[in-house]
Amino acid sequence: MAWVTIDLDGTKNGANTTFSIPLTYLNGTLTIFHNGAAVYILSSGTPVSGQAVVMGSNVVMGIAPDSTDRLWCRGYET
Amino acid sequence: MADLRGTYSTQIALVLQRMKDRDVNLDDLDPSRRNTRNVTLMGVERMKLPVLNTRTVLSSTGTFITEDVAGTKNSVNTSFTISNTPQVGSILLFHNNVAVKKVGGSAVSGEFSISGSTITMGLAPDSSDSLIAQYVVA
Repeated sequence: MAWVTIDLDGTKNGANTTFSIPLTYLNGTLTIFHNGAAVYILSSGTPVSGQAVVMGSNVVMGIAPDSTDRLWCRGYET
Repeated sequence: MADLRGTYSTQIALVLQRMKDRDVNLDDLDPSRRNTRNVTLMGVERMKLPVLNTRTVLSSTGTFITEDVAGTKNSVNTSFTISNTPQVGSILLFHNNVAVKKVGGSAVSGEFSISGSTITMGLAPDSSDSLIAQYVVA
């Protein structure tokens, strides 16, 4: 077990908002960064810009990242 | 800095840690308040133990550290150091309050790599930039 930093999987095209987390992480340790800014994680609802909904390994971003955006996460891998 | 908890009593170390956490410096306290506010702080002063400034880093395995990264910020230098070797993957680095991604290979803008306590930035910080690391000591 260790802290892991890794890109989210998915298509960054300015339209897609659904991504997956290629990491099995300890609950509560996940942080998502979009262009270096931490994204506020919701457990349900509809995310807006600066937010994301995380359910298991799936992420729905409140704003669709552009192709050149950086979208990564950090969590404690179990 | 060496782990003070190995040198002084646990209580003293805890006081010093609390002072650091609260950005308290004995020199900044009004003398009259020093005498009444906290007997423990008086004890620290009487014993003439070294007083830590707000930038001093207490390091011991498992300690969570937040510190300014050391090195020359001149838009050219990309090599910096932190006070301790972090636990694998535990480090978070913020350049002008924006998180920088850790990578294993060569870093580009928005990324950094780390070997031991040496950080290599993908983008050289300017002199006025802030560069802050958070990590758990290995």
